[in-house]
Amino acid sequence: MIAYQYYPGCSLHASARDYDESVKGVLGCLEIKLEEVPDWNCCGATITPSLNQLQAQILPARNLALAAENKGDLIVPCNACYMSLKKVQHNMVKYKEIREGVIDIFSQTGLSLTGMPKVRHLLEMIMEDIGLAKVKEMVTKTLKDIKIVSYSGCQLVRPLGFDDPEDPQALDQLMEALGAKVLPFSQKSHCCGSSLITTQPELAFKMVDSILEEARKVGAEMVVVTCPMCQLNLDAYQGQINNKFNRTGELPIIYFTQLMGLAMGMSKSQLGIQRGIVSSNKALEKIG
Amino acid sequence: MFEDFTSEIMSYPGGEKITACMQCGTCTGSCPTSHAMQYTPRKLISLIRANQKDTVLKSLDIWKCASCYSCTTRCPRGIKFTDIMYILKNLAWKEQTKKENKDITGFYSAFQGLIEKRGRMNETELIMKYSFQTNPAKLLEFAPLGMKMIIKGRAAFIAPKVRNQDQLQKIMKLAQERGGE
Repeated sequence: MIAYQYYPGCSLHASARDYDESVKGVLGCLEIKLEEVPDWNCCGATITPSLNQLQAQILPARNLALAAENKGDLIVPCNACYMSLKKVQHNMVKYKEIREGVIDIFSQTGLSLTGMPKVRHLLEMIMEDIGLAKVKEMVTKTLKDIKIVSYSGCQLVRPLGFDDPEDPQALDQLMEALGAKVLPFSQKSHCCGSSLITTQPELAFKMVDSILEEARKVGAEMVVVTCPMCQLNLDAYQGQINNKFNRTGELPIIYFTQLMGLAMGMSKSQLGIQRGIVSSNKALEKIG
Repeated sequence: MFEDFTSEIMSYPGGEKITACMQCGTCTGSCPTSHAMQYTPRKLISLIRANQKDTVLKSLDIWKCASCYSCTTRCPRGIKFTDIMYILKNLAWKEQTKKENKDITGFYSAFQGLIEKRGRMNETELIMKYSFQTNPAKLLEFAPLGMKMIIKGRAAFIAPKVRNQDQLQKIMKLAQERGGE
């Protein structure tokens, strides 16, 4: 049994509970053991770096200090958490003042950063460690050409991500392996607006609308995501955004792990699929 | 302490390469919110290099960055403009030019306050705190969405927190003090 450490991040314990449920379900099926980092804290997302750069290093760095050196790579399901954790590792190598600042502060509080684990997004781990061949083997219920667009979002692929920053491929390949029909989509790594949805909705609504509108135009039945923030913006705000821009047609926004679970024979409720604000029932009818 | 604003920006991690800008505008063309900015990324770089510190830090445009890193990835000169936006926001926050728009800054202070206290984020509490800090009538705007999230079991009612709050609060305080040097 392969073992990894798991950093769920705040969303997966609340607004993205469905993501957490499907991650655990799918990895359980694949006989992968996940051990949650003890006493982890918020990564600071895009907010703390806007206010205080050193605090923005300290928050993700504490999680790296709490993770164990020898319990496997650190698996992160959220794009923003993934980027924050990778970025502090990058910064500690590149910038002496950051390295010294973090080490000095940690030395006063009993934290140590020796032997940090490798940080990897969940999708990255599935593609590289499990592989498409194994995924195909696990498919018991093909997705029967359900038409999807894959939406990777920003921080999975930029600036330190593992896939092409302009035209990411991993999510497409994984969805095809499950039997979905992946449609061409130009906004795979466009931005969902992130927290601007709260502070400046006029900006974020336009960004989300552009993504949803192209997805509808190419004929997608669902949008597949890898990030709880993207999911929230595209799913929970979709009604308001459709009203504002006079759009018709609801698009379910589903986590890639939820579709993996379905293809592997798990039930909708095991995967939290009923938690979508936009219902997936119609889009998933043909899978049964 | 700094000769000028350009040198100040260059002294922070991520700001080093700003003088390599050739004003090609790839950043602005890549930015999903530049259409709404008076000072777009390309113009902001130009203003920084002209040492127009006040104009830059008082501009609400710096708070329109969604941190999508398109500009950083595409810049042909290797300028990390997303990081420069973070530097600008840090300075604006420190120098109290932040009171221009409570809708924006109220969210940042509400988020940061919750993290400094408890170490984990609770979205429900964040929205409530944000609304009270800006305009309590916002709660009415958020209510329909909040209800849906509750019905779907996607809202947490017990505020999550780290166990070792003392440690978390201490490292955040030490970072705050050090950053203020």
